[in-house]
Amino acid sequence: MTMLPSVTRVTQLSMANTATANLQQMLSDLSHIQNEVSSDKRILVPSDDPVGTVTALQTRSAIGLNTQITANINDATGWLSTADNTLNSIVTQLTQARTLAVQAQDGALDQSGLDAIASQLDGIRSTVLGLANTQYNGRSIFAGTASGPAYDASGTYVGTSAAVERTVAPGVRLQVNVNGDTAFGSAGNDIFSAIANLSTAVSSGSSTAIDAALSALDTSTKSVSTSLSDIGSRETRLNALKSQNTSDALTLQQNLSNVEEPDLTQAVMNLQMQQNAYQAALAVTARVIQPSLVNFLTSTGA
Amino acid sequence: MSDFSGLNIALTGLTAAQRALMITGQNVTNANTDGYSRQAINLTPVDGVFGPSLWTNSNSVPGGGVSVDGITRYRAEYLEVNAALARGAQSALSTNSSTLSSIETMFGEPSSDALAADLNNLWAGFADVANNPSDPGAREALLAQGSAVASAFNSLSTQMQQLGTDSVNQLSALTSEVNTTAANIAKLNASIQQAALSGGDPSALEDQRDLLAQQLASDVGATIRPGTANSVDVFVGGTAIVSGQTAQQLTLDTTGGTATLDWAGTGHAALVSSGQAGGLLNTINTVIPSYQQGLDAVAVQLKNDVNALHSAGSGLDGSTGLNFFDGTGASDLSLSADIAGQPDKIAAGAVGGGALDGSVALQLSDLGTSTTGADAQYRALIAHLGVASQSAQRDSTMQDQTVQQIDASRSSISGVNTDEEMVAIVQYQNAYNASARFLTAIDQMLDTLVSRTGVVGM
Repeated sequence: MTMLPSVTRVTQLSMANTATANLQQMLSDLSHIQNEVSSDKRILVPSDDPVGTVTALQTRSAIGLNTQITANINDATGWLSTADNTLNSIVTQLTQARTLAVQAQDGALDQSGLDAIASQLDGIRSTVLGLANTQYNGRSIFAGTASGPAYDASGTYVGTSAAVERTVAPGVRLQVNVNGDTAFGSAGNDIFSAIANLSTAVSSGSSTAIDAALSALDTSTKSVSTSLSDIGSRETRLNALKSQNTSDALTLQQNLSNVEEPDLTQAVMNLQMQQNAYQAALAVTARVIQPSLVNFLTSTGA
Repeated sequence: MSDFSGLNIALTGLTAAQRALMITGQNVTNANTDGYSRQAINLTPVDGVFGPSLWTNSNSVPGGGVSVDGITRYRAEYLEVNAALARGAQSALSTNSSTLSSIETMFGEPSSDALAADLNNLWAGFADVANNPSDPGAREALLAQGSAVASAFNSLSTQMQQLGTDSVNQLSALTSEVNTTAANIAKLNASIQQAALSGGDPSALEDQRDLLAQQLASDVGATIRPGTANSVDVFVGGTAIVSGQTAQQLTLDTTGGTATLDWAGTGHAALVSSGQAGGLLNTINTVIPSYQQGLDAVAVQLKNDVNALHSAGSGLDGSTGLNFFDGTGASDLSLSADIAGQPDKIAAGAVGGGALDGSVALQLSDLGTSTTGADAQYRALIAHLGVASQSAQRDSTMQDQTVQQIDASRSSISGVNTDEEMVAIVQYQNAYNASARFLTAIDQMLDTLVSRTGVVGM
C-alpha cells in the first residue's frame, strides 16, 4: 500500500490519485482471493507459486502413472491368476496320470485293461495340451510373445521364450507370464512326450519301461510345480504392490490438493477480511476526498 | 510626490489584487488538469519617486504602490528528470510483466488439459499398447494422443509467434506516436521561446511540453535535460530526439527476425532499453525467442527420445525403422507420415521379439518418468516462466510505487491545493476591497481640498 511521502504540501489531486491507486490495489487483491475461492485453485498461473507449480506438474504426472499402474496391476493379476489356475489343473492331471500308471504296473490287468489305461493317459495328454494353450484376454499365456497358440496339435512348442512384462510400480517391472518351454520342459523332454511315453510303456505292460516313464513324468511334474510356486510368489509380490499403489493414489491426490487448492477456511477468511478492508477504505476515502475549504466558505469575503 | 499619487498607488493595488485573483481562478479551474503547474503572482513594492535634492531623503517619501513582476510557475526540474527516468522504467517493467503473463496464460499450466497432461496421456497410451499390443483400439488411441501432443506444441508455438507479431505492430504504432510527440515538443519549444521574447506568459505551453516529455519518457525511456532559453532537450539512448526546436525521427527495422529502432537520419540504432518501446523490444528480441526456443527444445527432445526407441522396434506388420514423430521444433511437430493413420505400424515390439511383444512400447511409456526427458524439461521451462513472471510482477509493482512517490513529490510542488486557493481568494478579495477603500479615502481627501476649501464666506 502506497503511503503519501512526507511532503509538506498535499494536494487534493495527489490525495485522490493515492486513494485511487490504493483502492485499485485492494480491489485487485480482492479479485485474486475471489478467483482462488471460486475456482478452488491456489495456483492459477505458474507465477502464483513457481515451486508449487513444479510440484503440481510432477504430482499430476505421478497420478497419471499411478492410474496406469493400477490398470497394469489388474492386467498382471489376470495373467498370473490364470497361469496359477491352469498350472494347478495340470498338476492334478499329472497326478492322475501317475495314479493310472501305477495301477497298470501291478500286473493284474490284461492287455485290454492296459490299453484302456493307455487310452485314458492319451486323453490326459490332450487335456493337458488344451490347458497349455489357455488364453487370457485373447492371448495364449504360455506362448510368450507369439500371437497364436503355445503348442500345436502335435505338442510342439510354437511360442517364443520372451518375457511379457508389466510396469507394476514406478520403475518396477514384473514378468507376468511363464513360457511353455520353461513350465512344461524343452522340446523332447516336455510334459507331452512324458505322458505319451508313459502311455506307450503302459501298453507294452513292461514294469521297467513304466518306471522309466514315471520318473520322466515326475521330472515334468516337478518343473510345473516349480513354475507354480514361482507364479505364487509373484502374485504375493503383486498384491503387496497393489495395496502400495492404492495408498500412493490417495497420498498423491492429497498432495495435489495441498499444492493446488487453497485452504478454503483460510481463503474464505481472507476474502471476508479483504472485503471488510475494502469497504472501510471506500467509506474513509469518500469522507476524506470530499471536503475542502470551499465547503466551509459559504460566501467569500462577506 | 503629488497629491494625486495616492490614486496611482490605489490603482496598482487594485490591479495587483485583480491579477492575483485571476491567477487563483486559473489555479482552481486547473486543479485536476494533467500536467498543470500551479502559478503564483510575483509582487514587488514600488519605491517612492524622489529627486536627489538637499532636503529629501527616502525616509520621507512613501512608496509608489505595488508592481506585478510576473508569474511564478511552480516546477522542480530535478523531479521532472527523475519522473522521466522512473516512468521509462515503469513502462518497460509493466510491458515485460504483461508479456510474461500472456505467455503464462498460453501455457495454461497447471491444469488437466494443457501440454503436461497431453504428455501424460501419451505415455499412458504407450503403456496401453504395451499391455495389449494387438488391440487396434489401443493403437488408434495412441495415434490420437500423439497427434494431440503435436498439436498442443503447434498451438503454443503459433500463439507465441502471434504475440511476437502483435508486439511488432504495437511497437510500430508506438514509433509513429513517438515521432509525433517529439515533433510537437520541438514546436512547443519554439512557441515558448517566442512567447517569452514577446513578453507573454508561456506557462501553459511549458505545461503542455513537459507533459509530452513525460509521455516520451514513458514511451521510449527518454531522458529530459533543461536546454537554453526555457527549452527542454529530450534524449533517447544518449542521442537527442528533441534538441531545442528540432526533432529527430525513429524508424522501426524488423529485418533479420529481430526488431530495432533506428534513427531515421543516420540509420544508426537508437539504444532504446527503457520505456514501453524498450519493453516491447525486449519482448520481441529476447523473451518470446527464449520461450520459443525452450519449447522447441522440449519438442525436439520428445521427438528424439520417442523416435530412437520407436525406430528400433517393430510394428504389428513387421515394419521397422519408422519414426513416430516428425518435425524440427514445436511449430511443425507432427505424427510421422510413416505411422499416421496406420496404427499397425506403431512399433510396440522389439524386432524378432514375437508378434505380441510390447517391450518397446513399455520402454516408450517409461520416457515420461525420465529425469532428462521432455516432461522434465517442460517442467523446468514452466518453473523458469513462473519465476520470471513473478519477479517481473514484483519489479513492476515496486516501480509503480516509485512513480507514485515521485508524482506525489511533484504534486507537492506543482499541484493545486484548493484550500490554499480559497485562502488566496479571500486574501486577494480583501486586498482589492482595501485598495478600493484607500482610493475612496484619497478621493474624499481631494474632495475636501477641491470642493470644501476656499469657500469661506460663500
